[in-house]
Amino acid sequence: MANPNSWWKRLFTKSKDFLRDDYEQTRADMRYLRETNVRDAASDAAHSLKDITYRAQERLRNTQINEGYNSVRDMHLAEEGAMRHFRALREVGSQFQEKGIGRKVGASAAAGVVAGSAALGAGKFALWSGPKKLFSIGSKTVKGSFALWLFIAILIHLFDWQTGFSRLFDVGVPYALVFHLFVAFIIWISLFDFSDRQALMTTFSIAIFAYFFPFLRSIPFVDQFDLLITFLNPMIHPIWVYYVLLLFREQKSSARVIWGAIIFFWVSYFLLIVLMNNPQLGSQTITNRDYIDLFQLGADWTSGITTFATDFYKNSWKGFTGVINQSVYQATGGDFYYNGQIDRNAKEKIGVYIEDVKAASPEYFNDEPVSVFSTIKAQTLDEPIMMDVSCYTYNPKTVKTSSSTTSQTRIKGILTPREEYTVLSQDEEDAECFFESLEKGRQMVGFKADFNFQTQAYYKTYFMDINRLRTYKKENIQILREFGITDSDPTAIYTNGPIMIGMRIKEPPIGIGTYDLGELENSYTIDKISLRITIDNSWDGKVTGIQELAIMIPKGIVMDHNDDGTAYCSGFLFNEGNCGNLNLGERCDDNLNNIYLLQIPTESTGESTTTTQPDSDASLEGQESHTLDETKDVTPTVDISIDKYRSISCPLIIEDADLVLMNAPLSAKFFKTLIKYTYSLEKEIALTIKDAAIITAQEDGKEAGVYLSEQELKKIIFDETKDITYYSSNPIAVPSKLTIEKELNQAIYDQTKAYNINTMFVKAMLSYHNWNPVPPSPYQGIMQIHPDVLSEFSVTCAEGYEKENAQNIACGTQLLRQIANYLEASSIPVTRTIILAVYRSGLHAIDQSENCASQRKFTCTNDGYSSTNTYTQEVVRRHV
Amino acid sequence: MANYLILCTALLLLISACQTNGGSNSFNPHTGTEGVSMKFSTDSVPKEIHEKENLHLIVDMENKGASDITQGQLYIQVEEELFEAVQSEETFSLYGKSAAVQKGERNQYTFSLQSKPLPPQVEVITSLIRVMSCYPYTTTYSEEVCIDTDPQKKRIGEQNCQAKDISSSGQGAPLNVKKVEVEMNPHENGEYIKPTFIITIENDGKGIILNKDSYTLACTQQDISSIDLNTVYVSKAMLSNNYPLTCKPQRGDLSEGYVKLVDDEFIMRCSYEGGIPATTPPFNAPLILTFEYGYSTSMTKSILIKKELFND
Repeated sequence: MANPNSWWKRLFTKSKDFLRDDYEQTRADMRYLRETNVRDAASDAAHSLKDITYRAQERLRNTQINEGYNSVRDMHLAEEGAMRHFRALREVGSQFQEKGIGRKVGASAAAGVVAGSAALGAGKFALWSGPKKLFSIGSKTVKGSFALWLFIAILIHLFDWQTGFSRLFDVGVPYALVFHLFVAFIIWISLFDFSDRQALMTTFSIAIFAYFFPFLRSIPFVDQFDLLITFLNPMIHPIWVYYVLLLFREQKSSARVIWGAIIFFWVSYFLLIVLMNNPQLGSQTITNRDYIDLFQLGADWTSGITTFATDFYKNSWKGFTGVINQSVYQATGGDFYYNGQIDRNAKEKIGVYIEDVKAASPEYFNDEPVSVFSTIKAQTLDEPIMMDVSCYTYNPKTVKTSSSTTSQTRIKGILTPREEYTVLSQDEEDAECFFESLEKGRQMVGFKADFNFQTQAYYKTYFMDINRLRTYKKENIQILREFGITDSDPTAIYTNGPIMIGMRIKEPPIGIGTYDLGELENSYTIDKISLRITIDNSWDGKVTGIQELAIMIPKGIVMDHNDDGTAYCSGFLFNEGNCGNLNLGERCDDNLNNIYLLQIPTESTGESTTTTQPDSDASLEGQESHTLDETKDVTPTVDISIDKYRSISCPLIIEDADLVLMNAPLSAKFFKTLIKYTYSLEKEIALTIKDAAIITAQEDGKEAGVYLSEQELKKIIFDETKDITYYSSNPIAVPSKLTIEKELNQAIYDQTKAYNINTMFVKAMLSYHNWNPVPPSPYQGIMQIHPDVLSEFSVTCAEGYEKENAQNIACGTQLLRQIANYLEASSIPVTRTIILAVYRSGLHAIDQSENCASQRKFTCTNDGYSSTNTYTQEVVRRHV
Repeated sequence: MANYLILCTALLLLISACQTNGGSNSFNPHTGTEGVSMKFSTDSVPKEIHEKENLHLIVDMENKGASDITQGQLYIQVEEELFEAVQSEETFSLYGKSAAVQKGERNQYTFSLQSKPLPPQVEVITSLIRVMSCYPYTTTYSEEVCIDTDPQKKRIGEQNCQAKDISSSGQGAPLNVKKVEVEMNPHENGEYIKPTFIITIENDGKGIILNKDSYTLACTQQDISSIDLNTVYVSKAMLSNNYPLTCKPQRGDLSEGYVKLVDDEFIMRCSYEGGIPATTPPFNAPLILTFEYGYSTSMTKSILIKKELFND
């Protein structure tokens, strides 16, 4: 193989000669071009030539010999590129010569194009032959003034902004679309090669995107997310500026900086908003909470993220499926689905929520009580919520066949502090659920809330006299815009809660009244419209019954009814009612609305109070029995469950058009739906229950005179935050002893704080004997204090400490502190097992064993301290 | 190169977007395309109020055009489920700009409202309040035009003026005489020429043009027909004060003198049928046009009504 270095030198020399020759030749071409008055073309060609020469020379300068064959290959390609462009220039020159001076104008233009092309090509070549950091959309690069294009992009955005991002089709022409396409065209011809189809496609795609971007906020599911609504505000997204930054980001550091800043801003914004809206997400790291160990922290994080992701997924999916439902069903002529949305201005989180379902311990054994916490939140604005809360687990002897496990398989837990709630405005309660024990394996524990609730939805639409409507349309007057109404496609707004209500009437303005046919004899009256309603269960729970469903329509409009006054909406029977039936007080006005109430069958007989529903489909399948659902409310309910959704159509008649129009050219009217129902909400957590028979001696291993860490010390000392957090809770308490624990909580807390002993540690000791002394025993009182150990540490207790619980706790806690101090002073590891061993049997228990090497006596089975060893292990295990 | 072309184009666009006031010292009230300007007084319209709260809505009205208004009608329309208006109608009169008064009259009108209780469980509702005005208005156009009696330039040395088209950006009224094209057509009598003016009028305001005889219809529920909308009465079309002009086309369904805008624009052809002797030297004369019509504009304001929470 030839020496690459010498080859490179030859090539370098050859390239220099070649460039020099072509430089001279091109100068000659330029002279000719000047002579033919093609100054612009010549100028461009000159720039092109300089650029090529400069880049090539720079490349040569920068190329190091040790770059080897790659550099040589690059040089070859550089030569070819330069030759190609020089040949193009020569060709131009020869063509001009043939065409003659008389064609200088055409030649000038042609030369401009070719020279421009050459310049662009040269730019590409130069960059290509430089470091390979090409950006762009695709693999192209751009050439031009970044500052200029940034300025133009900002101007474009300001212009679009100034029009209010209007996307109206004025006289049938989408001006905004034409504008953005024009911008794309300008960018393309200015920044890219004509033959660059990819750039063409990308740039025009950006134009299409810029045009349609303001529409994104109109997508139904987007309405449900304030975050998205804000994020998709077109004002804060200068699409063309983004594009220019992307185009120039490899060439201009300032473009990269701005682009980076934008990305940083949005990432920060999203994180901030997510944290604001989901304070539970990751709150474990920023709030003063007690986390038992890393496992629990991880579990909480996982739970928070899962909840957030699930909610996001469900809401998104809900939005998408809503749109799909609506379009597919309408397209197939089937049932209808109409969307509604929650008012984006509503801030209150009305409804019932079960949050933060969490186990008290990361693991449980099958011989110990299980405790699960949760927070129950409820809020209402008007009607009080009557709520029954319970907790449950599943009977492992029954088979769980599906996700909807029947309630017969459930075992009810003990719920504290209460099971019944009456919420007038808002309430929040930390609830605990206890089970004496659970079977080993994976067990589900859940909280269940049964409550009554009501959801209201309203749909605003516009009416206009039919003759006026026709006249306006004939005159090409855009009616809604002329009247300052931007919402040309109204959507029902429903209140927050488990049920979504969507409503729909034909597109506004709705023409009503008698249509004047002029000379024709037969005039006719437009008096029939249809109100369509969709009711959907948007939460995870179940609608267990509907107590009341009222449809309120404006005065002047009635439901199409039979002679006997009954009206049907898709088979559901409605009777005329009034505000008195709804018990809404001032929030309902009979002067404004006609009210129709769904006929409710009585619960006792299962029959309708008046007429039975004629449509067999009106009673929906899928309702499950719940033995725990002992509904105390005897209010009659319609026995339907809304597993998916239910749409009904109500034929309406305009009885009095003048009353509807109210002497106004355009009249806004509200249609409302009110549903009172019962709902059942559940939330579960999975627990891992271990077999108690397999108890490892893990603590022993740690204890054997070598284990002493800050973590262990922290477990012993009083922890204000931790002990207050679990102040009213116990780790292991047997449910039957709860009363005692509650009575002693204050004393335990006070004494442990006074002696700097961990509260939960003392509770674990107390729970060892189920909060009772074990007679007959040398151990005294609830703390099971051995008098000899008291003497050994010279602790003096108050008189009567043997029987009085409070004094006994004070005495025992004081003893624990003395033991801990002694161990520390004696350089003995201050671990829980050693403290407990000394507490139980005195200092002799922790002497070195003669029978077991490297062990203390209490851990050696042959030294007579087996009960002490059991005691220490069990208490440590119970100490969460 | 292309970059600089684009920059220059952008700058030109910016510059051309700027308007200047010319150098005339005398005030010309017949400029602009605004009639009555209407807006909510910012202090009187809160973004949000509570239910059962009183609201005094003040509407600022200013006549920015050059025509006086009498018997204008102002209506407020609220959503009856959410608001109750004490009174919903006002009559207004506002004088316009003139050579003596450089600013038209301005006045305020107050409407008292009270928000109603919100429906159950509803925390907030956005309500739309709409104010509409309907008023009669007049566009007066007067521009010098050249009556070139020798369009073929046969006579030498008598060229006092040359007929040319006139464009205008407004006469102090929403109906704008946008363009006047001047034609000197031969008369049936070969000794005369027939001055003809192709006049483009258009609605440059933000409202609707109405028949002057039924201008209140746009603000009420009363029947409104096609002849009430976009209909303008040409009350005066004169060349100087001596030559009355006849304007066409005249629609069969409209009374004489009435024209109808289509897509906010109408082109009419006005000519002096009597003709002017071709022997008359070319001269300048004012083209005087007066259009009478009604005009209607509306504006809306969204107000968030909030429920008083936890008042149980």
